[in-house]
This record gives sequence, C-alpha cells and structure tokens, in this order.
Amino acid sequence: MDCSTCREMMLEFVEGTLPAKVAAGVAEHVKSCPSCMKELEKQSSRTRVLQSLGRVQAPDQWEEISRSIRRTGPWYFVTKYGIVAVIAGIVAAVAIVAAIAFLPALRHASPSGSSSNPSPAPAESAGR
Amino acid sequence: MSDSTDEALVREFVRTGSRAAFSQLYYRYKDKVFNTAYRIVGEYEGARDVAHDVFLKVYVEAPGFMFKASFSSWLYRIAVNRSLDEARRAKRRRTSSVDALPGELASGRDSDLPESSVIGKEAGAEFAEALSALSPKLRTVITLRYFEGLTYEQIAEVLGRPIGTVKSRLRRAHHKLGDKLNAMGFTPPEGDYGLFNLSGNDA
Repeated sequence: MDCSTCREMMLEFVEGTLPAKVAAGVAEHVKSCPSCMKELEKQSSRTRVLQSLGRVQAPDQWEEISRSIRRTGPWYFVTKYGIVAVIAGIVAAVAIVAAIAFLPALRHASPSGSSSNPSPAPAESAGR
Repeated sequence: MSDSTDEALVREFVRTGSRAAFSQLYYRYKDKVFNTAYRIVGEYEGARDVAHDVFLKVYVEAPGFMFKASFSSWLYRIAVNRSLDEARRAKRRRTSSVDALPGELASGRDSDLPESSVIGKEAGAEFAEALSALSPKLRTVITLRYFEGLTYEQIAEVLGRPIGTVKSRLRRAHHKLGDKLNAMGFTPPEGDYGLFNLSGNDA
C-alpha cells in the first residue's frame, strides 16, 4: 500500500469502519512509514476529541411550538416568510399542474398534418 | 405510549391529530434537532429558531410523510436544510453588521457549551473555534457523524447523497480542521487518544 492510498483510508481506519483485511494493510503500511504514522496520530487525536465534545442542553420549546400551532398552524410560514413568497410558490405549483393536465389536450389540438399526430386518419380515408 | 416506535407515534398523530403523540415525538428528538442546528448555525438563538420551525414543519407535513425513509432521517433532513438556510442568514447578518460578530461556537461565550466535559475548557474552545471556521456543509457532516453519531449510510440518507460523497466530505472536513488547528498551534490534550491497534486487524 502506498502513502496516498493509506491517507485515503485513514479516517475509516481510525473509526474502525474498514474491512479487517484492508485495515491490516493500513496498519502494515503505517508501521513502516513514520510520516503516515504521524498523520494517523493526528487523525486519531482529532477524531477522539470530536467524539468527546458533548451536547448542548436544548431549551424546552414545547409551549412556544404549541402556541405557534394553535395560533397559526399551516399559516405560520405565511407570516414568517411573507405572503408574496408563499403566493409565488402556490402559483408556480398551479402552473406546473396545469401544464401537466393540459399537455395532452394541446397535443390533440396540433395540426392534423403534423408528423407527431398519431390520428387514425389513413384508415378512415381508406374506408371512404 | 412512551415505548411506541416513531412510526407508531407519527401514524397516531396523523390519524387522530393527537397532541400527546406529537409531544412525545418532540421530547424524543428536541435535543438532536437543537444540537444539530446549534453546531451548523453556530448561534444559540439561531438554533432555537431552527428547532421551532423544524417541529412546526413536521406538524404541518407529517400527513404527507410516506415512511420511505425512517422518521429520524426525515427529521434530520428538515433540520439540516433549515440549519443551512439559517447559517446563510446568520452569515449575511454578520457580514452586514459593523461588529461582524463571530459565531458563539467560536467565541465560546455561551455558557451552555459542553466542550469542557472531557478534553478541558481551553482545548474545547480551540476546537470549537476551528470547527466554526469550516463551511456549513462540512460542519454538517462533522455534526451528523460525531455529535449525532450517525453512520455513513444514515448521513447519506439524510443528505440524499451517495456514501462516497459523505466519506469524501468527512475527509475534507478533517483535513481543513487539521489545517486550522495547526495554524492555531493546537496541541492535542494529554491522555490516551490512541484509537487504533496496530498489532491487530480489528480497527
């Protein structure tokens, strides 16, 4: 294993998520490469510190959230982001739905000579 | 109902509008949502806003939740998206402010910071400062992996990205964090930080 591959796998090696065979390869390389060993020590130390940083005590916002639900419910976002943004969103959604709904009708309305028109015209004319 | 699964609680809430079921989901996840927001946004008040909006969004959108992903992944996804949005706003606020206050994670002025728990206050503050220098995207993967303890697969589901992308983002985040810590002259606190066993292959 070369240094570049070893560095690529170092994070997973430290976190213990590499398959055993690959991890053995990394360990083997690190033992004989002082530079990668140094990097591994740094990586290991960083990871351990990150894992040791605790959580923040979250505030209890239940009452606040309940109030918002009671007062505004779905309209909360209207009051927060503004009526214009919400209306623009609704208009865009309606336009998309309308486009999808009317697309087949528009296709039928296209000229009969159009090559995209799959009408049974040739059969009818043959019958007459 | 306290032992009910997330799915059972969501279904109960959607079917009957049960405030009790929703409340239970809130208390089950409030710490996770708030901490995710706090680490990404870097401000206590900003994180409060995010947590508030996230649960309100869940309340409004739960009837459309199809259970294709787990409830927690869905919740984390909402929290991450809202936090990234708030982080952008916070950055705009800071850059437009004359004082250009750094985030609370960097200044360490927030008394609720738990960084002193294991590694010592000074080292914790230095680490927090280095973390706050990362982009919100990189802080997100660090947060989900180390503070929330999610697996690579779970992070991929939350972010809607392939596992390879998650791993490369984590590597990039570590790299940048290392550079920042080096620039700050950070030395790891003393103690047994060896995570690996070079003599074995159980890493």
